[in-house]
Order: sequence, then C-alpha cells, then structure tokens
Amino acid sequence: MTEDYFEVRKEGPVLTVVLGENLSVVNAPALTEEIDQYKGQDIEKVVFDATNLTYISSSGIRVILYCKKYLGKSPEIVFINCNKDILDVFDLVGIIPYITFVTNP
Amino acid sequence: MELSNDIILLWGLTIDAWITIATVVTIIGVMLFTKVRTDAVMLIAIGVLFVTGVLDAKEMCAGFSAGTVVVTGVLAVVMAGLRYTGVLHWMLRHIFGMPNRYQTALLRMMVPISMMSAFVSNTMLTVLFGNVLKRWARKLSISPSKLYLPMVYAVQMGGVCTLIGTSTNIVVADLYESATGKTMNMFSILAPGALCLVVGIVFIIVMRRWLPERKAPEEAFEAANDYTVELRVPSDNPNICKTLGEAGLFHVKGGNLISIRHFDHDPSFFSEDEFVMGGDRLVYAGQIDEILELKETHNLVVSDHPIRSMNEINKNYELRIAYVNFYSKLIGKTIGRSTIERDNNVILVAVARRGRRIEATPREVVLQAGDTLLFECPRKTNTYASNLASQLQFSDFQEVVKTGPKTIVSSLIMTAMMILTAMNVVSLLQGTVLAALAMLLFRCCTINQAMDSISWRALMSLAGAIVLGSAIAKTGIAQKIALAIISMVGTHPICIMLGVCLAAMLITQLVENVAVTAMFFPIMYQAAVQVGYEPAPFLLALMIAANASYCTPIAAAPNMLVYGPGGYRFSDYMRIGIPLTILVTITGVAAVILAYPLVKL
Repeated sequence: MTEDYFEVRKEGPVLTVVLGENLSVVNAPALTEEIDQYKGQDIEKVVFDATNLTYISSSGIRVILYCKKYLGKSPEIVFINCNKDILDVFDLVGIIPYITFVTNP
Repeated sequence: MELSNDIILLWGLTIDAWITIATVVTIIGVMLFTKVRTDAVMLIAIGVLFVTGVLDAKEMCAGFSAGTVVVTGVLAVVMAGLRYTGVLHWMLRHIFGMPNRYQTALLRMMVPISMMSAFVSNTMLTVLFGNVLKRWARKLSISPSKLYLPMVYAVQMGGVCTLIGTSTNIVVADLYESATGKTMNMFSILAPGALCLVVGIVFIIVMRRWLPERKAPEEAFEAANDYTVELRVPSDNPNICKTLGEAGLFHVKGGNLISIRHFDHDPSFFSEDEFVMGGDRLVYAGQIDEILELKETHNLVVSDHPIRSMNEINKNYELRIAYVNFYSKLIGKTIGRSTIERDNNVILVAVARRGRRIEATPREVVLQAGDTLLFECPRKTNTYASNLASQLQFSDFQEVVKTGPKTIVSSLIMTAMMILTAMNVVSLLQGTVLAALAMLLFRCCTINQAMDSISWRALMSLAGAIVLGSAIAKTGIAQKIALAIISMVGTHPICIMLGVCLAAMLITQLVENVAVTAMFFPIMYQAAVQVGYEPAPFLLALMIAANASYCTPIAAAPNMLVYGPGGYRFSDYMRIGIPLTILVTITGVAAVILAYPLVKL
C-alpha cells in the first residue's frame, strides 16, 4: 500500500473509502473524481477508514466536505480509527460536529 | 543533379549567401515577434548554417573559442570580485547626496554612474542602482521615472568608453584583431565615447522636461491598508462546511474577496464553490467599513493587522512586488490560469497598471508587460533562482555587502588590470584572466559566486553572433552590402561611415546590440576597405552606433530592467530616446573623425 493509496467501494447506501497514509493535494483530486461517480445514488453514509492516515491537508478536508454536500442528502460522515493528529486538524477547521468517530480494534 | 552552393543566383549572390540572408532575416523576425531565448535562436541559426554547408565544422565552432567570449566570461568573475567586496556599494553610498535641484541630481547621478559603467557590466550596474535610485527619488520627492531613464542612458553611454565597458566593443576589437592582426587599445574608444557621453548628459539635462514623470507602480500598493482587510474564520463559525457562495462570503457588500487561504499551504480554489473551513484567512478589498460588517453578520474575526502586515501574522510570509517583464509567458494570460502560484507557493494579492491598482479580482486580470504584481511569498524565497525569475522581475533586490580590506584589494586588482592592458603590457585576454585569478586567489569572491556571475546565456548569444558575422563576411554579403552603400552614399568616407552607422543605429533599437555589431562589423570593414581607408576609425564609430539603443525598452537589457519599476510606457523611451540616439550617433562619427583622422591604406 503506497502512502497516497485510496480505495472506494459501495455496499448498498454506504460508501466506504479506505485511505492510505496521506490525504493531500497529491491524491485528493483523484479521490474526488472517484467519489463523483456515486453522485445521485442515494448514499446515506460515507465511511472513511483512517486506520493508516497520518496526514491530512485542506485539500483532504475538501474531499470530506464534498461528500457531505454532493453525495445523497447530506450523508452521515464516519471516520474509523482516526489518530490524534488528524483529530487536531478536524478540531482546527471546525468539522468535528459533522463527523461521527468510530474506533475499531 | 547536385546543386553546388557556389552557384550564383540573384544579384550576384551565391546560394550560401541567400541561405545566410534568410537565416539573418529569420533571426531578426524571431527576436522581434517571439519570446524565444536569444541564445537558442543563435545556436539554431548556427546549426542551420552548418547543416546547409554554409559553414564548416571549424567555422561553426570558432565563435565558442573566440577571445571575445572568453574575455566576457572571465570579466564577469572580475566584476563578481568588485561586487562581493563592496566596491560598488561603497561608491553608491558616497556619490549621492541631497541636491536641491533636479538638474543637479541628474548630473550627480549620471556622471559617476557612467564612469563606473566604463568598467562594469551595464546590466549589473542597473540592477544594483535600481533600488538605490528608488529610495533616493523618495528622499528628493520626485518620481523614480525621472531618474531611471537617465540612469540607463548614462550606463549605456559610459559603457561605450572602454573596450571592456560593453560586450559589443569587445566583439569589434576581437573581430578587428582577427581580420588585421592588430589589437585595439583598452581606451581606443575613450575620446569619442567620452565626447558622446558629455553631449548626451548635457542633452538629457537640458531636455529634462521630456523625461516622463510616471507614478511609481508601488504607490498603488502603498495604501493597501486603506483598501484591504483580512478576516479569519473561527473554528466554531456556523458557515463551516458551506461554500463561500452559500455562506455569502464571496461577493460581499462593499467589496470582493481577493484571497483565501486555508490553514495550510495547499492551494485553495478561488471560487464561490470553495468550502469554508475554520482557520481560513479571507482577504477582502473595497470599502473597509462595509466589509467589516461581516464580523457581525457572519461571525468572522478581524485580524489584528491589515494585509500589509501579513508577515506579522504569519512569520513565514512577506509581501513582495514584481513586474511582468517583456518576455514573460504570463503576458496575455491571467495568474488564475497559470500554475505560477502553485509552483512557487506564492499568492497574488493585487495587480496595478501604470501606477493604479486594477479594481478586479487579481487572479482574473489579463496581464500586460510592465504590470506590477503584489505577491505574498514565503520568506526568503529566492526569486532569482526559482522559475519566477524567467517570468517576473522582482524589485526588492537587497544586497548588503560589508566593505573592508578586500574592498581595497579588489580595487587594486581592477586598477592594475586596466593599467596593464591600457599600456599594452598584457593583452586584454591576459589582463582579465590575471585579474580574475587574483580575485579568486585573494578571496574577493568565492568560486560559486564567480561561476554564478557568468551569464552563460549571454556567452552563447555572443558566440552565435560572432559565427553569424563570419558567415556574412565569408559569403560575400558584407562586400555586396558595402558596395550597395557606396553606390548609394558615394565614396566619401564620412558619408559611408555615417550611412552604416545610421543603419546599425536603426536596427539596434529592435535587435540585441551584440547581434547588430556582429552583423555590421563585416559590412563596415568591407566598406572602409573598398574605399581604401584604414577600417579602425570606422569600426570605432560602429561601436558607438550599435550601442545607441535608447529608443525602446527592448533595445537593451538595462532599458528593460527599468520599464516596470519606472512605470513607463513604450513611447516614453522614444520621446527623449530618438533625439538622443541620433545626437549620440552623429556626435560619435564626428568625434571619431576628429580623434582619429582617416588614413588611406
């Protein structure tokens, strides 16, 4: 798995995005393009698997907000296994209230 | 059937000659109408002449080993020694004062600058003096545009006064030596050059009202506090997750959003569809009072400092001013459509044209040559090393060099070089090589500083121009043109000298001096020989004419360097430049005849 890796899969109304180590300007545009394909498919929940994620930039935040705005009717955003550094960034940009955080063993 | 290159076609010229003519015309066209680098143009032209058989391999390579090229390159090392030991800075600090009249200021500036220019590269002097003059103009309460043009004219007129003052003089001296085996003295051109300089300076001072008075481009940004304000989005802002358009933060009452930056340095999309995030810094331009209502209506926080103090908010950034140069690929484009911001991690804050800020979103302004741009750059961005330098000319050149014992050492080295070459104790090449070695030996500059000071592009152009000149001579074009000139102006040597000089003077307004010199050397040489005169005085007159490039900003590098900072228009150069060019050329011819009576061969 490369650091800019991502994988997107859809199971019913749930879209799962598995992230690599980085979500930045390098891979965010490609991920947005991938997510774009699921527009109009009544996505109810977008689950980001952030187990490996160690760095997120504003371009990465933009992807999250893009999902919230353009996929379905304001789908629930879930982050799995988010580390403290990423949480600090979410706190700074003020999007914690819009995300559900889940920790899986 | 094989076509020999020696077959004579039209007007008694061979195929080789016509290929050379076509190449020269194409070069001039490419230089005039495209932004292709001069050195590349020259190298391609040489390649064409070689492939078509006009030049053989030895002739093609001759330019690169020419003494001119070596002297110019080595001289750059000597200049680096002077520059990095503070000789030039010391002079700068001590020559300007606080004259109370404009004409006195002109005299006080032009005389020493032109004297320095006789021994120092014109471009280097223009760069060094640029900011000094800006500050001096402010102290004297006059527009910098009233000083910049006289400065570059003085620099160019002074440069003609010695062989090393400008590369065109070195070209003529070197080609003359190759053609006759005789050497020109370092100060051969001093008397006519100095007379032209005196006449030129007097003319500029007398006609000082013709010098354009333009608003300094930076003034458009000086009052930035009055029209820009930065607001921040707190982390608990209710508009987070909305787009700028939805939140009503893009087009606002009283102004426009001109810049947005998120918490990091990733590029932000400057559009209504960009998302609002906590920590965003939004910069607005317009009526500050009305824009500040956003604090109440949109729960924004005003930054303690306005945009001009942005570096105090973020210590890593500073505001810097740049000008769009004549060969910039940004001309006719918007910054929004280029990748310059992303590639260089800079943000365009405002654009001004002719001293006035353009009331539009900066990124959407279609740029023109001479436009002034206000950028937010990471601190210590090396705008000279980055690819910004090829597109933009940054005005904030600050070089602080301490003077000390090495200042004296480098001055002595330079003086010794001048004396030894002037007295013909050593040749110009030997003199410059010895001086360069001494500069390095006494650590007046480092090896890296020495190497960085050599303009390899200029050397390539120089080598190309020399090869082109030899092709013009070899193919008989020079002889044909010389005969044509003789048939037009008669066989009187003064008429011939003046005729060729006026032709060179015209073309040098549009094409690089060195190329013009290399093209006209064989023509002037042949013309002199055809009427039976020693060519040296004719060639000295050519030096002056080929350097009289005062009419356009593209005629010479110093002219171009002050175009943006001076806030000039293209026509500003013509108003005083045309009469000055004609005056200097005619004075040059007259002075040469007076100083060097024409001698029959």
